[in-house]
Amino acid sequence: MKLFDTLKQFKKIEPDAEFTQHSRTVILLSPRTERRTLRGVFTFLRVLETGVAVTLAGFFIFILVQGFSPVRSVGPVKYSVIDPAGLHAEAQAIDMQIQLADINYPQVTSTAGTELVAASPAVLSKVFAAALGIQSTSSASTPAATTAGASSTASTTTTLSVDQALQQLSH
Amino acid sequence: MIDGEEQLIRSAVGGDSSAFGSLYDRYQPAIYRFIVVKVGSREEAEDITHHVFLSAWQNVGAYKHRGHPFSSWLYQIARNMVIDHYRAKKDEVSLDKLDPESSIIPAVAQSDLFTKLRLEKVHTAIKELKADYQYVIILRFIEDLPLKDTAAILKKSEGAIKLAQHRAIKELKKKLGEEHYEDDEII
Repeated sequence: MKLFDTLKQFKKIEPDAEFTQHSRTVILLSPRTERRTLRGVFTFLRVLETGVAVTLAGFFIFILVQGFSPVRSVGPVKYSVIDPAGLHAEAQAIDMQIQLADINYPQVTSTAGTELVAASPAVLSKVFAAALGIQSTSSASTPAATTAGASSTASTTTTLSVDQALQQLSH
Repeated sequence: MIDGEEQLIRSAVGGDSSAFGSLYDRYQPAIYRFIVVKVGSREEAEDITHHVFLSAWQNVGAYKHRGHPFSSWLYQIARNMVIDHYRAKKDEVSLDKLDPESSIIPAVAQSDLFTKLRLEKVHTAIKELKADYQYVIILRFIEDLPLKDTAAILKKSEGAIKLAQHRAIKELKKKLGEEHYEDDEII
């Protein structure tokens, strides 16, 4: 017998009729609902996953577009202290006047004339900080203020604005 | 696709059990043959065939026609189940191998003894081939499936199937001691 003819003989194999009938009945009576439920759960999870991904992507895009403005809005004071320009603008925005009369000078630092000693940046920072702490017409003491000539406890009645004070300090 | 099959598949996908029953009647014998020649045991083949159609029924809702016959989808399920079957019984010693009554051949040949012996011999030789060669021989030379469908079932190119079938037949002849015969001369 030729090989291919022999192989064709295998096509005569038939399953047992009783098995076929029993298997068919069992299969067709088996429910498909469980599978549908699982598919529904998977669909829900897939939608949820997509939603989370889109939300996260949107959040990061928002942060990038805004130039990390949320970070800035969280701590504006902290950053303005180390930013002279920002500090200046902030100081201008505050409506206040410093009455030098109310400032107590703890000690005499110089006896030369009435001019202000050129202040170092550190000292200026302390002055700014003190000015901000005083608020309007504050009478808090400013230990870092350095004036010369005027006696240490002397008080004047001159009223200066912040700009004027800064201007004088810069001379 | 066989006439009316498209409608049957559509109904089965929609959950119509009688439509799936018709598909079962149409394809169950071929799937059973595919499995029984591969595993060589009627009982195991019946179990696997049952699970193939049970799985098909439970998953037919997700079936999508991709240009291949519905039977290709069933053959793919059957092939996966056979692989799982062998994986599961890897360490088991099958009693079927010791039981001559379990042979598939009595179901094939009720005729003469010569044919029976010839079929036994060929079947034993087929089972000694590589798994891929076995599938190619079953699908191409027993079931007469076209090259395209065989390639789809085995997830290979048509060229690869052509090559595989050539090698499979050559190997089979070698195992049968008939390699010196041309196809027409093999007795």
